[in-house]
Amino acid sequence: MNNKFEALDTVRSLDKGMDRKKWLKKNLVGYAFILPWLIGFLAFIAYPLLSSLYYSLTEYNIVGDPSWVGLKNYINIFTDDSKFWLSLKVTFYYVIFAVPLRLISALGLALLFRKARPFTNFYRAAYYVPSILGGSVAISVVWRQLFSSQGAFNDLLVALGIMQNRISWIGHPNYAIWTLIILAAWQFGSPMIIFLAGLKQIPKGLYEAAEIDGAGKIQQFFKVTLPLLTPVLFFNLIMQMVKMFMVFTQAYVITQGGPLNRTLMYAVYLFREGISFGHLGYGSALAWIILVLLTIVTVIIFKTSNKWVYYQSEGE
Amino acid sequence: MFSKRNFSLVLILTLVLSLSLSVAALAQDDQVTLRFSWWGSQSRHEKTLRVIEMFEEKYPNIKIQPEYTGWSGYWDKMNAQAAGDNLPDIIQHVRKFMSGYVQNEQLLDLSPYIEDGSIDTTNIDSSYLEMGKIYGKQMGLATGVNAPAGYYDKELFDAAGIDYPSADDTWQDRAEMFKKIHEELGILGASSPTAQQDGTGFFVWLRQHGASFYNEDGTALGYDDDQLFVDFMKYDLDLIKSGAVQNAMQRQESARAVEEDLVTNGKAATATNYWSNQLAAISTGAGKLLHPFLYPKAADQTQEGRFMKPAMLLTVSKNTEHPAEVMKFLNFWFNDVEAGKVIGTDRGVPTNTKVVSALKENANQYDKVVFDFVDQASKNSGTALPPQPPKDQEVIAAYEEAYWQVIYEMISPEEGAKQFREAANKILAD
Repeated sequence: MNNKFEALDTVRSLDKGMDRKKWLKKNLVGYAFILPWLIGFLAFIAYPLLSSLYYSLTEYNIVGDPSWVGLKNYINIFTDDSKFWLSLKVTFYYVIFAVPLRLISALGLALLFRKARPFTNFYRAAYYVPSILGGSVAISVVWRQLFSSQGAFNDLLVALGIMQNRISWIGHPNYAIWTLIILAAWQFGSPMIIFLAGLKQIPKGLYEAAEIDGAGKIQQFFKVTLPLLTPVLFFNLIMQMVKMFMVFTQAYVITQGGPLNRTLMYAVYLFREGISFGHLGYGSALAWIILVLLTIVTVIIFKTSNKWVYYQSEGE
Repeated sequence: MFSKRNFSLVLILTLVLSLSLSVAALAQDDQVTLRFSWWGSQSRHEKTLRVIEMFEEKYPNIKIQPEYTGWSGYWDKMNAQAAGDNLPDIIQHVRKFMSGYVQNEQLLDLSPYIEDGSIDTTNIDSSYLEMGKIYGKQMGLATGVNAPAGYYDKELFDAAGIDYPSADDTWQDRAEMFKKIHEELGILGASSPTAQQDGTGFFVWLRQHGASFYNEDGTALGYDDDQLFVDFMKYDLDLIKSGAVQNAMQRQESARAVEEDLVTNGKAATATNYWSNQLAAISTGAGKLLHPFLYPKAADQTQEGRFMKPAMLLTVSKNTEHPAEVMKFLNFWFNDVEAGKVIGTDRGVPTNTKVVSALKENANQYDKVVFDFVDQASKNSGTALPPQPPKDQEVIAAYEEAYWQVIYEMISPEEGAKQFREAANKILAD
């Protein structure tokens, strides 16, 4: 009770613009507690973010000093850089296929692990492993081997009689990107865990009611599970999409952007321009463009969300 | 929460702690740590670490902190560290990237330290010192010299009944050699007819035809006739069609580690895209000696196009806080015979005559071959390559892009030549 009044007091005194000193004194402890985080935020997020904005307006050869050029980098990117458009195209292609595939496999497995069966916990853990490994260089090297012309994937296809001749999946201009998409789909662990948590939240009573009404398993999934899972789906969609727009390690290790730049992901192109060629200013501009673009895409998805995301608490 | 007594206790503790820390720092003050970065294969790492050990034994107050990786990623790391003014004290460098670092004042001029005797160069030939000069200043010291080299598997040539590669072969001789091996043994003649992607083969080809990759001051391409590019690419395409070399897709996925080159497991009879200092590494991969060979001649060549270069150089960051200790290390590296014996020819055939004669005395099987090969190369080499412009990496990237598009047959060699010329001119004009 006392605290509540105190808080009200604070608000009141703030409203009146009175007693700033007293207010500050009261809140100093709070600020002291968040100070470590605040320092970290300023030093490792705010400062790099703002300096990259500054660098994006300069010509900055990585080993020299930056010189101000205004919007030149941005103008060049939009008017005179076919690689920029190419890398955007490649990245969008990747995201459009990889995100749904990952979400579908995550949801499928979450449904499978939903009911407690023998060893369920073991399988849950086991299927999470690819997520931990997936972003690593080691797994990218394995992937490279798997889809090379001498690799196990060809062995399988030939053994099954699907193909006569081995082909190099990572060397083929049309298929190389699919090796990356499959790798992405395989790393379904973290959305799977979140889906599992979401599934547990759905009241059993709804299923019982659906069953009494004569709904089959498939109908139950589409009429009960899916609608009630949409908030979780929405969350996973945003998170995974942002992650995939930034994909780097896999594309850098497995294909280096090749063959013929068909897997030139945006982050790989940014890295090539900014670090390999040393155009830090240009690279910073590229980084800001993808930031803005990602924000726009996210906002659009948010705007559509009230059309398809169903919150249980609504109307209560 | 804190009583007054507690507080003063904490205060005292803190004071004592920080004092003891600074005392510890003081005690270590005459201990100097230098960072030394290099790229290389496993055998180089081991050799270098042993030399560092020897140095630290001799100078216990200097500690060398090694930072090593493979070639891929090394320059990304260096560029990032240069941007952060955090370059290692001693940097293994290549001549082709030095001009950019020099222009941006990242490297220390070594001339004063050579003049005052900190680095003893009495046993290093001036032509080798020349290899470390950029714009007339001694910005690095060559660790050794190298020649572009291919490697071949003698047993496979014997099995196919074909003559070994020789220094007098022409490009056509080599093409026939690769095709014959493919016909006789069903394996590849080579992964690719030359080192294509990094342009080394093209450099040689251009020089043989009286041209060069860059013009003298590095402001434009050094050849006017696109037919040179076209012929060079057609040569490769013809070999791809015959099946004697890898096609584009196979090249795209081929291993990038020298120890895993196809020649090391008998899937190809030769490898064409290496350097003389890689003999030990590639032979270790193969489990037997692979023999080095030179680039071919052009049948109609107007001048000797083959060349040698400093294998790599040791350079010093301009920001080093301990130049005196760095020079001690360099002096040790370039003059200590025992250290030279450990390093061997892994970083090229050494430049110090005393080291070389000591090496020749106890040369192992590999090094003997390398000495002979470099000797042969020096007799078949034209002028040294001029320092590449700082934008070299971008131009090479443009070259690679045209190269890939041509060998994937997305565009014709003629279109490739035009595309590369336009891209290169645009990069160099900026």
